[in-house]
Amino acid sequence: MPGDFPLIRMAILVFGASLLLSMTLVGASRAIMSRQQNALIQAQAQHSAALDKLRQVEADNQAIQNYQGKYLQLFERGFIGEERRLEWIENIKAIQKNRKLFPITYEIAAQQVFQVAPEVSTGDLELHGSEMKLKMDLLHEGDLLNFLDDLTSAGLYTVQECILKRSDTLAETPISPRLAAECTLYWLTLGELTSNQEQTPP
Amino acid sequence: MGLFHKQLLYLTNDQLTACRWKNGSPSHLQIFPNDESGWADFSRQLAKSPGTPTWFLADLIEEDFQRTTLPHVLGSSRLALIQRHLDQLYRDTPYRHATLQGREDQGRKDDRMLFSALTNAELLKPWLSEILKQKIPLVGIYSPALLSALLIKKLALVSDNLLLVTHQSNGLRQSFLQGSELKFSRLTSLSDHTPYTVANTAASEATNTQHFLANSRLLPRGTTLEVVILAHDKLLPQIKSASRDVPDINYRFIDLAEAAARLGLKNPGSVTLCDSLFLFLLNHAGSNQYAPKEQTRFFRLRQGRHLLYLLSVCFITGGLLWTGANSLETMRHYQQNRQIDREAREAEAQYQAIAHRLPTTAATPQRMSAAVTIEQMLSRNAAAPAQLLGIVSRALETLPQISLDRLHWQVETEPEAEQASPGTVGDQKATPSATLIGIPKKSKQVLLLEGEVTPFTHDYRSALKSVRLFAIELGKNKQLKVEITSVPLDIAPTTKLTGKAGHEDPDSKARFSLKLTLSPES
Repeated sequence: MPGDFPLIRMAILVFGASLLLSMTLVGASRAIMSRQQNALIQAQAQHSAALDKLRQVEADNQAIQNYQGKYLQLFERGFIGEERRLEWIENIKAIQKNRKLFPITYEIAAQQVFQVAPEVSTGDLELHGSEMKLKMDLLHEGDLLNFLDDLTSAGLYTVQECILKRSDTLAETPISPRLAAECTLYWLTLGELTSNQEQTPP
Repeated sequence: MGLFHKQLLYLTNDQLTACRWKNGSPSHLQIFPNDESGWADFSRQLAKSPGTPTWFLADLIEEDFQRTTLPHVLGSSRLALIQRHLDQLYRDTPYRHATLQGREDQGRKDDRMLFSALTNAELLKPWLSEILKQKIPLVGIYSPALLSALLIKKLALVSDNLLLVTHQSNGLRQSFLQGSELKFSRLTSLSDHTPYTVANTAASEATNTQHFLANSRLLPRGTTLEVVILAHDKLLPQIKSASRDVPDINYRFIDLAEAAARLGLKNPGSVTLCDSLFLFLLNHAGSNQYAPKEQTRFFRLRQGRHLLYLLSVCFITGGLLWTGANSLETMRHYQQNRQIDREAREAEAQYQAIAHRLPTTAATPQRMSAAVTIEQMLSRNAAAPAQLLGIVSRALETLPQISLDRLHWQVETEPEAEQASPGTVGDQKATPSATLIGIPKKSKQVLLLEGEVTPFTHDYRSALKSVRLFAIELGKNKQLKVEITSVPLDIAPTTKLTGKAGHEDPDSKARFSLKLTLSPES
């Protein structure tokens, strides 16, 4: 009945007030907790980033200690940077002259980019190779091995194929060629990415 | 009045007794005569205890009982049917009640109903109007007759045909029950409460009621009526002597103190009338019996109010607990935050210290690492003919009759590695795979040898043996796989063999070829 409302008015007011109060308390505490949670997530991200930076700088420091000397040597040898074809040719001539070898014919193809397996890191470099075909007459097979041995001073290379065959003609003199050799090898260098237009000195 | 206090009112035809129920027995007894002064005193008494829940027990002569059967229907139809019957039976009073007492065994299996009412509403009106005026929460209006079913259950007196005779302030009440179902009850007023009057009235009323029950077919003829008389110990000897030995009546006398003790009343020895037993039973009476709905609304409002207060307390408590839990979690996060922040600052400081010490380098550490690693891989894995040529040279030293004409050494490439991307672009060949040059692992080397056995004197057996010895000598190297691809004389049964005995060709040669495959060390 309408006249009965005053009997429960206070109870309704108390109920409403308690509901409001409890919701306010819970809402406020949740808001504060949520803010603190966000701050924690942010702090964790900063902490993680700081640790990553620290790990990276420690790794860099270690890499510098481990690799800088060797890297400079490789740079000096011509493995890193532009190809030094002139030095290769000069070296071949020098070896031929020093070892008193028969004339050597060479042919260097255009440079190619090797496709390296993904598990091998090349950093921001590319592995380049230039195929060289060599033809030479030999007194004996040791001449070829000595030549290849001496060639390492000109740069880094790997041999792919060699054919040694006895000369068709009989040796007229003791210093006439007895063997003929044909070899294929790759001169190897590490260079900038071909897609990278900026040339950064090593 | 405290929150848990109760007010019990006991109405008779002459007076109203008010009491509080305290510690298992009635206390603060106050009696109000049924006149204007009594009503005024009652009004003042009520004003002293506003808001106290009140039970109203009406022990009146004017209470009527009607037994009937109704078709068995459910839900709102049943309520409407009951209401219609109540209106027909008791048009002049709002204090009426219907009790379902089971169903008929035969026929339509109708519902067996007991309708009852307090037929003199005027007797209740002055008291109830004061209660309603002061908005006292009335729990309900009850009657001892309807409570007697509960009483016999609690006293374990349930019988097929039981006449319960109770001595009360308003007289002697006789209630007939079959099983635990009340069938009929009436109140006989007493001129006085002397043992003689009570005993004689009890005995005579029991006999009269037996006749009435038999005549009204409530009690089948020849059936023994169990008569239980509940009275004070002092009255029992006279009641027993007055109760003549009547056929088909079996008397049983129970001391009121004993019954009070069995019910659980405190101080049962002080109980002299059955009024206290019925007042006690109000605690277990359950829902309202006679009060119209509008007269109990203040009690319902009180219940609603209490529920709201209880919910308020629950909400506040729950809110505080939740807030507390949130606060603890917040505190935990705050402390974690501080700890992580401190660790991050320390890591940053260490980073700065190391970064300041780093020397100026020719290239980035990643580039240096990659370059050195690749160079080391090349140095380790790159193939060269010297190793295989050396093996062959050592084998030849033991077999001077073997002469080689041609050696073809090459790195054996896997078909997919030969050209990683097919086709050519301008002068530039397609991108070769780095596996050709030993990145990331060593490749196999193959050496094809061609030669002859010299001098050859057309002794094929000896030539073949020399070739095999040469292969065996080479095969001593476990990494080397030696295959004889051609021999001076092919004696395999699957091939054709021609020759001329006695006239050998002087230019014939014992030529052979071998294939050597050098696998990388695993």
